[in-house]
Amino acid sequence: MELAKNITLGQYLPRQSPVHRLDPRVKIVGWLGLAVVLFTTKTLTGYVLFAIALVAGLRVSQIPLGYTLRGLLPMLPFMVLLWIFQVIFSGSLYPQSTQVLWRWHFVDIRLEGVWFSSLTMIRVVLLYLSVTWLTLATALVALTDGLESLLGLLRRLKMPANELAMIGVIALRFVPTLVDEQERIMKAQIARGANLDQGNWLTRVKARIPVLIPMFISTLRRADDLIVAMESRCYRGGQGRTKRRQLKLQGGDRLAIGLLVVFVVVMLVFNLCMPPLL
Amino acid sequence: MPISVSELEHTYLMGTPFEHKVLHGVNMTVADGELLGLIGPARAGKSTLIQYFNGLFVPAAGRVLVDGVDTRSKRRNLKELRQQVGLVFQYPEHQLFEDTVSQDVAFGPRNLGLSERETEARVWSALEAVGLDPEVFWNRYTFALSGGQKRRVAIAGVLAMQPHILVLDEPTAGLDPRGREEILKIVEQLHRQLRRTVVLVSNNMEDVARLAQRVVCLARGKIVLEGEPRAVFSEIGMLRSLGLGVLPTIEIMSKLKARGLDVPTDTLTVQETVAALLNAGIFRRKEVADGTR
Repeated sequence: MELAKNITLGQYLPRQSPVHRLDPRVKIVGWLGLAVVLFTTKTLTGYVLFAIALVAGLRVSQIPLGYTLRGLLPMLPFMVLLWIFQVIFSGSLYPQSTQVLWRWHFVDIRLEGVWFSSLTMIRVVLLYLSVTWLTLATALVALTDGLESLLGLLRRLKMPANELAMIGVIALRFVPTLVDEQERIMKAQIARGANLDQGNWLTRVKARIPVLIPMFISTLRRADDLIVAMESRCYRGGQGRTKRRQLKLQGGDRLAIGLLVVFVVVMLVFNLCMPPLL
Repeated sequence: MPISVSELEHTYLMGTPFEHKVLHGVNMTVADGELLGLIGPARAGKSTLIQYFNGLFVPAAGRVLVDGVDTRSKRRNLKELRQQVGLVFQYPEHQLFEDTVSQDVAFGPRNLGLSERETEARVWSALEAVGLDPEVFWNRYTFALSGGQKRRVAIAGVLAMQPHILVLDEPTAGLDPRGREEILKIVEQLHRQLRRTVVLVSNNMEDVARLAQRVVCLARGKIVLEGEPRAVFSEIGMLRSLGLGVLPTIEIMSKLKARGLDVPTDTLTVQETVAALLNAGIFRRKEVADGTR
């Protein structure tokens, strides 16, 4: 049993790639651009174009596609469930003229429902892959610096930019740590004869309690330790703090910005002009 | 119930960019009834290796036989295996989750499907075995216990499964001297009185020297030393190069020997060392007595 095998979110994969070297601000804003593109895409062609660009991006970043896809495995059951619900209950959203595949009481399955539910799942997968791409190719420190600098605008509005960036980064940082912790506790309970994945859903939920309670306790303990560690280093947010590493746009960053702007504009125009097709 | 491991390999995070091999063909055995010390520097693969003993990992390369049966074979019921080989993880107190001591210790026996009466009897004797008076601790809140007590409750939780083989991963890590002493006494008693086979994984050479009948040293995913404690702990150069500690008694004796005194260099305990020095006639008895007063 190795839980960490399927966790890619929040991981950083050190490589010497041009994407890794980019200014983190470019990567974060770029990712936001990609997300906007994804949310305006309504056609399969659009998703395919996006996927091609994404795979090319991963290639350039020297990140194996198979590894990024692995991260989806733990979410697969939820996605299947979501898809089924959407297929069953979205029928009434479409005009009566569309082809009805099956109708029974409240169940109203239509061709369009199946099609658009599938497209939604593709969108979720692509969104997940693009955020994984961002974290795999950006070291945590860089991500914090980038976020903080971008949130600098908020500081003018008296919003705590540094703290917000810190919260986000700590959350990401603790994903692998807590995964390891959970694996250890699960193993300890299995060694005491626990059945973690057998029986009906009620017994399964109950079987998780011996893992969940120690996880809660250990998470609180870690939070406590972290607070002490930060306090003892006199953490006061961004107040009066200067950076050793100043973020400055380089030639590669300008090239990346250019590419991203072109991609986002082209995709947006494409998406707005294309009618949603079956 | 012996364990035999042959050509065992383990690759961590196989199939990801982070994969790395931690066990490179391990060959070792745990004999029936022995108290085996498993030592080795940090990240040597000790904690990974012991997870093969109770089937938490099943070998992708190599073989692990427990009581003669391959842990991969269909005849092998993994749940039964986990009852037979009790595994106490590092910092086992982190696994506690029930309100009261007796409830938590009962988790294992209940999972085995035992009756309430049998479960209670087992919880009682497990608590006794770890030196916690069942009458006092039965309804105590687990989260109100001290660190050392929590750890003993966690060990009792594994003992209540009544395993034939008990594997303890760094059971004294992070405890104060008294807590450490208590745990070591429990381990000793489990072996001597309850006749359990015990595998003690430890980075503390003194703990291992005191208890183990045989010592296996794992480094960089391979067994590098194996044998009687005396023989293993006398390999000062090797142990040092691995970043492991050298027993103070052995260190003193080998320094004395280097200075030209005719003394044995494989004394494991303080008493033994003192006796050897007296034998060598270096001190008169009175001087020793004065010195230790």
